[in-house]
Amino acid sequence: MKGSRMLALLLAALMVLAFMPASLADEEPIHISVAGYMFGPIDAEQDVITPLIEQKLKDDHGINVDIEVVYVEQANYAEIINTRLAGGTAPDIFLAQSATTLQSYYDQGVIKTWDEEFFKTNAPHVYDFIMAGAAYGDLAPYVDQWKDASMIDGEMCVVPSFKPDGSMPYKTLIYRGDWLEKLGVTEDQLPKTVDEFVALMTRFAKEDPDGDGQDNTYGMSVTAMKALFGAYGLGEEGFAGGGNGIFVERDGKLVNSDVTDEAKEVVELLTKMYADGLIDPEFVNGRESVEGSYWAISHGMVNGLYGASANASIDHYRLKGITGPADEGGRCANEYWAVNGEDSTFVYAPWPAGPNGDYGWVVGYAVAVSESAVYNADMDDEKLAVIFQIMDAFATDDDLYMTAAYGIKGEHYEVNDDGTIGRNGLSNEDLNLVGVWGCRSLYGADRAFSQTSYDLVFYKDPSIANRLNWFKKDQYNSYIQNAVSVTLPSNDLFAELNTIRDEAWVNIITGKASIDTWDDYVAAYMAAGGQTLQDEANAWYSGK
Amino acid sequence: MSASDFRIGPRNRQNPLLRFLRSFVGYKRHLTLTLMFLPVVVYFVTFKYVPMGGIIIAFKDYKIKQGILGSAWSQPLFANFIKAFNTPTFARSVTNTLAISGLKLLFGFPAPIILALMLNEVVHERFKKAIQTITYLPHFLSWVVLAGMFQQLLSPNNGAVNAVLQRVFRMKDSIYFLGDNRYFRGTLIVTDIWKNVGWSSILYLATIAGIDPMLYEAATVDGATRLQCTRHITLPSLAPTIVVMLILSVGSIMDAGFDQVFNLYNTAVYQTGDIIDTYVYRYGLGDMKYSLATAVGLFKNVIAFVLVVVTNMIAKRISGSGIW
Repeated sequence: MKGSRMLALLLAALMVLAFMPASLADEEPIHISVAGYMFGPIDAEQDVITPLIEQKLKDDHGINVDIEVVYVEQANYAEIINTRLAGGTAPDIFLAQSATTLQSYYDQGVIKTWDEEFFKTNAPHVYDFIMAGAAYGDLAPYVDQWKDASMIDGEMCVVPSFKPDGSMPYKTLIYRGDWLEKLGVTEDQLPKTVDEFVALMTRFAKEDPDGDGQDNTYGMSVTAMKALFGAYGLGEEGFAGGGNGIFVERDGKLVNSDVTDEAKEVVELLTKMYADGLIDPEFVNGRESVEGSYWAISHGMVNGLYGASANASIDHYRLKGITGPADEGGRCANEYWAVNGEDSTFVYAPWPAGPNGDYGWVVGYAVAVSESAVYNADMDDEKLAVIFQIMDAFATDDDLYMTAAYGIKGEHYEVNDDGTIGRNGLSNEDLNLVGVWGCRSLYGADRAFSQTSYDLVFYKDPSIANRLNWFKKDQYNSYIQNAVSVTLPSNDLFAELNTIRDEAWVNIITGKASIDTWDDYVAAYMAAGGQTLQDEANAWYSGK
Repeated sequence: MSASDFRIGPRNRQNPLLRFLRSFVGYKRHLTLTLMFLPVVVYFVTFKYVPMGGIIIAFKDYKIKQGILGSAWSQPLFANFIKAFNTPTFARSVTNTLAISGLKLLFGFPAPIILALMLNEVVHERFKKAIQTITYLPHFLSWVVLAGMFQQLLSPNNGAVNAVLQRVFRMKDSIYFLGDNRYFRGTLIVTDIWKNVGWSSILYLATIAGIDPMLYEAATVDGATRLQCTRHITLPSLAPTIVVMLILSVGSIMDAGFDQVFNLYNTAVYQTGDIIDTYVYRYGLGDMKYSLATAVGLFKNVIAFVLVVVTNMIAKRISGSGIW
């Protein structure tokens, strides 16, 4: 009896204690749920980072928030978010994975909009950092593009990412090193013109570069065609792979690169190359990876079916200790070595130049809305203001940023002598479990808008500096860009247009249709929406 | 109205209204059974019938924020249908869907019946079980995985099938099964049969197992051969199952198999392989075009519904059995 009374008293005391913090707190914390890019789920039991961030925000910045990290599987991200939007249970902060998705969120009215002044007031340091061209002013030429990309119909609705490595070409042209060696082609003899490129493709196809005595090789497949489009100043982002063509300027007007005379010339050249047996007939798949496997791996090139590919970025082909960390190659590089042997080689190649001296490939946008955060339209302006104040806190408080992006110093990361970060052997998934990256979309798309975060990711990392230097060399660099830096209102028409383009071009290249059908194709393309998009592009362009 | 009106009798059977009213007496009499069935009714009404109201999205300019009822009606009412029908590749996708489904019905439908009949004749029990297991295993693999396999097997460059054709059958050029309009549909049919024949035959085998063995014994005594037994006992006993399955298959004729086609097709075979579902997918189902997708879905379902009703009528007239 006595024991149970004691227990009752104890429980009562506990209850009072439990309610104490709530009654003592001057204000209820603002609840913010965030579903950013994560490598795996977060474990509420092990999560040490999120409470730490909440504490630091409260103590050092006077921002009282309750952060809820929501894990959404990357593979079905858009579908899951769309379903939750329809059900009214979407998180406060989520990602628009592409410009088209952003446009449809905007059209549907599910995301918050604000004006530039609002952003400037609540995140003054972030705003100034961006307007000054980010770290070291390197991105000053892209400031206008950043502003364009952040708005739809003159209203801001996204804070796009802003990154110096955006001046690197999106894809890198790669040749098989062993084939070049067999054919006696040295590095300074690599093709620098279209004619030389076609000649090398011919040698890859006809001179038995794999040395098995059989005529079973090709020059290239679908992705190396980029080199030829680039040589004519075009940027077919997705021929046979479904992506959109870019807009290029011709006589002061914007035209879609898919219907230019230059595109016709390239298709004609490809038709001849196909007839000569230089192109793998399976190029019509639009991809070089086997269905169901990692998209960036060119299985045809890795397995010695053809010798040239531009399927992946230099990041995928990181060389140990040169363009990547000493102990870790790129994902495609690892596959290449696994199949062809540890000492097998591949070569980063210069882009061949065309008749007018053009070369290269679409540069990988310094400004990108993909992976950038958008904000649920259900929230009020006060909450959005707090979210931008948090973004500003991350930009000014390096300790806060390091905790969110790298974890606790000594436990989750170390700073190496050269200033780079060591991960203590922890994988991305391990770090996600304890809460690292959970707050990612609170500070920016990929990293905080601060000198420190840019230094860590880009400028202090020697392998990234090497990559950037690599692309400063002549004909390795690139400058082709989409002349339109906004999402056009009728962007969704591209789906049908890309089908029309892919089909027409494949039919011509494989000899099922004559090049004389080109004008019919252009007419069909313009009628199915090409004209609408072109008009919208020019209306935007003339208003600039 | 007297109690005798509710009694079962030839006169009442002719009157639908009386028959309907009489059923309530039955419900009351078997109250426990009725109550047990109630959850089923609730389930179907809540999850199957109420959501049907959602088809009005097809006639609206649906916006998530405004909800289904709050969104504005399309101007004109059929705007979403007009938009879908007016795109250049839509007509072709309808033709392709019907062609691929038709071929699948023609070749794919009899295949499991034939397999079931053949398996039924296998005397060795272990061998029969082994064949059954092997034939229905592919059913459990997804088309994403199978597409990777078939792309390798059917590759014109280093695929096993072309290697056999060239080395054994001395064919000169390799065939690009997945990239040639002449072969693409055939490839779809064959791979579809390979994947599903074993699984679909289970139902027929179960029906065959239920046939009274006395019928066979009697026939054997009368001197019937095995072929005659199959023709005059097994097939007629299977007929009702076949009819039901046929009607159900016809009902899904507007579904030519999105998973399969989407994973196997490519630009070179759009002409013969682009179906309604791949069209809708490309047209931006992922881009929140709910109204357009619902419009196309409704279009498909109306056609499928008409086909089911017609097939059922024909089946009833010919064989006397149908699904209702």
